[in-house]
Amino acid sequence: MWTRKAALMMTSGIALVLIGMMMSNFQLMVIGIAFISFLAINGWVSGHGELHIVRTLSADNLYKGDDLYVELSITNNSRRRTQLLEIFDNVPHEMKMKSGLNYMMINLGAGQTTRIRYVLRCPLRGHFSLGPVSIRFRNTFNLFSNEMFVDHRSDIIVFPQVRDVEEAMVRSKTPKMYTGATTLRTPGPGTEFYSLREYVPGDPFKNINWKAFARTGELMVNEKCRDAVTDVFLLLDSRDVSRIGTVLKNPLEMGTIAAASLSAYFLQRRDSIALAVYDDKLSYLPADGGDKQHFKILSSLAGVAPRGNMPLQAVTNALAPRFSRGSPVFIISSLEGDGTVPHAVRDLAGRGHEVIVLSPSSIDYERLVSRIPRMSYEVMKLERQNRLTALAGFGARVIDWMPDVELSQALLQVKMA
Amino acid sequence: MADEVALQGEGTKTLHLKSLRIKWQVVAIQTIATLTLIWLYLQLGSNFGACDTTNVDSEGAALWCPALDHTLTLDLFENILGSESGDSGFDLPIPDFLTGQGNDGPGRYYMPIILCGLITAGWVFLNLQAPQLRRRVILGGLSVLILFLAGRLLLGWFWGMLSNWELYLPISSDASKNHAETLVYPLILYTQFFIVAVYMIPLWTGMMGIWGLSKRMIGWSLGTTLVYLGIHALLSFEAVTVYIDLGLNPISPQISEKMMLGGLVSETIWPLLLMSILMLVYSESGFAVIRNLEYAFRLPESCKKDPEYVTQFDNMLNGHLIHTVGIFTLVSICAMFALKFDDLILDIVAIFGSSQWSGQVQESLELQLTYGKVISAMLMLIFVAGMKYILPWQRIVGFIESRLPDLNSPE
Repeated sequence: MWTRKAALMMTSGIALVLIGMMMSNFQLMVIGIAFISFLAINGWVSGHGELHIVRTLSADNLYKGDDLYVELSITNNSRRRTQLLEIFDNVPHEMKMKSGLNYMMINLGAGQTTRIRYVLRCPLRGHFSLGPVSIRFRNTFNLFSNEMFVDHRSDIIVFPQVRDVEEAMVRSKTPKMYTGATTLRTPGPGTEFYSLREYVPGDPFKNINWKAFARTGELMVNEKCRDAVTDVFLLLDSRDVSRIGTVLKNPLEMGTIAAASLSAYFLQRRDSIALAVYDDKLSYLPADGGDKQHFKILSSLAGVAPRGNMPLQAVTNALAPRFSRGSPVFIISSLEGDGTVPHAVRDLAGRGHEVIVLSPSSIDYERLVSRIPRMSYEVMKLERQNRLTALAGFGARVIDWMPDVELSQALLQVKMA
Repeated sequence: MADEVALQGEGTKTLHLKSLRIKWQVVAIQTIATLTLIWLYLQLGSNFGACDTTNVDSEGAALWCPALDHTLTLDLFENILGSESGDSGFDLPIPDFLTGQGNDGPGRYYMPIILCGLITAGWVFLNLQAPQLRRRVILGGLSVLILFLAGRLLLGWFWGMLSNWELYLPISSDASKNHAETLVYPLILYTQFFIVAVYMIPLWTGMMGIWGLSKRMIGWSLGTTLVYLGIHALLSFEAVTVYIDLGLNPISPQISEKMMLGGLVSETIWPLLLMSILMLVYSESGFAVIRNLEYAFRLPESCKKDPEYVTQFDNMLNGHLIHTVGIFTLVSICAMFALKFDDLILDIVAIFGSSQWSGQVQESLELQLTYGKVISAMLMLIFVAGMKYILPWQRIVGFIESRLPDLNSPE
């Protein structure tokens, strides 16, 4: 592709030749011919993008606010120089350059390698992709350019931040719930004996009770008591209204941080966590424990985006058969624009669930981006307060989470209540 | 892929402006630009620095013309002042050896060129100082100029008023009260300096642009050169000289038969072509230094110290130097061939014998006038541009480059 300079040079070259011819002036004609000759010769030399590019990242998964170290190794595998190339590694606009630069002008000889190293700060959670690598050849005299791409991408997941949650802050009235692994009088995976039953294909051999087999002549297996880790259900509101506020501070962002922190806390205590995210549809992650579940939850939370308008009652109705009896349910929602919340909470409480509503104050988040008249703010705040009081009346434990309050401090309200 | 990623390294060589200014490649490109600028100016002087031989008055004395020769204007200025003052031996304040007055040929320009170089060096040195000191020096310089102009007038005037004990204006028919005369000498001095500076605009602006890293200054230098060429072309155009003949020496429209460089280029064309090539080399080198240093300047601090960036920057500069030599040599040869292409066409046409068509072509080209020459040159250039798609230039260039010495070897 011709640059503006080349086009200008060509035009002025032709113009000088014509004017020179018109005025019978050899000087102007020779300048014009020299310009055109300069372009013609420069056209012979062009760069190439036959490069071997490898991107190395310091981590594939990281937490929001962490730094990502990137190294881009560029090797010229051809047998000739690349000529002047501009290398630009495309990074998601959500990431901020902390040090170094994702751009370099290179002129690699045959077989030479160079490295671009830079550090990115990841202030937003999400699933991101680094790349492709843009390459632009620029003629030494800036006359011609050619743009190329090397489709080399690296995927990373930025998890929401996990904040410390103090045990005392979420202690339940029901001692069983938060005391870690205890046995339940129900069959399931565990360590203590529950009963004997007949062998069915698929049962592990190690569970066969050989003494009972010798005694009865039939294969019998030991049934174990289920180690009763508490099933905790997290319902995260990811509807469109939860985007109110700034990019970094809005009910959804705070909700994901709360969900990640609570799940980390409960999983550390060997409880099982189930996560339901509702926006225009319901995404449900069944209850489970361990690091794998933690990764699944964080990955799921990383991809959450505000959209849709699904009512909470539709969520609770859909999940009703999956809720373990008496298990605590955390509802993380700004409670805006959903008239079904009181009914859903009432139903859950009625079924014996411990309902904890963690509600980021969307009015205060809105205040971060727009001016709300004092009177309007007071009225809206009052309405919100009434809504929260009504929920508390239905048996839920309600936390009004203000933007400038830490999660651990907000959860303290549960204890105080 | 997650793996250990090393941090940016720090080498002994950095891309800070302070160290780049003394890097041999940068200085080499700046020197190339400066030398081509000086050569270009001298070549301009040799081509456009004289009036037409017929530009003489009734007494046979040479008349002034707008040729690129400051001494012509200085001589005229000196003559006017001499005749006004009635002193036939009147000399301008700046001595002739500094202005080049009285010299012939390129000797007229040597001292002004040296002065331009000194002024540029001073200006660049001043620009490297702290802004406060810079401001003080500029203010000090201006104050000295103003004091030199008006100081004697004011002192003499006030002393005169005190000694005579009366109030009067400094302009008077009474010689003892006419202090305005003290303004004449500094004004003549400034005018003389101004005349030299105006003629030397392409030179001092260019030098300041190259060493002071100013694109605007280089633009001014090129602009004034091109404007001068345009004005010269216009004022020496036959259709204009019929009405206004300022006595400029026109470029011959007829190409000389005498050849140079082994018969490659005509003696008439060579200086014109040389000027065009010098202009290109100067502009490309001058702008390239600024472009490359701008890139280095904009890099973040960590990249300036990163040996990878330093190595690639060296590669860029080396590439530029190689291309400056290689490409401009090819451009010169290509332009020479292009301007000689009509001869080749004539030879080809001669093969066809004496048909009517070949006779017509031969006749039009043999005129040796501009049209045939230029049109055939353009044909040649189209052919050269088309060769991009015929010959594997990339492989050829790669082969040549692989045989070139590695300029990145330790300095």
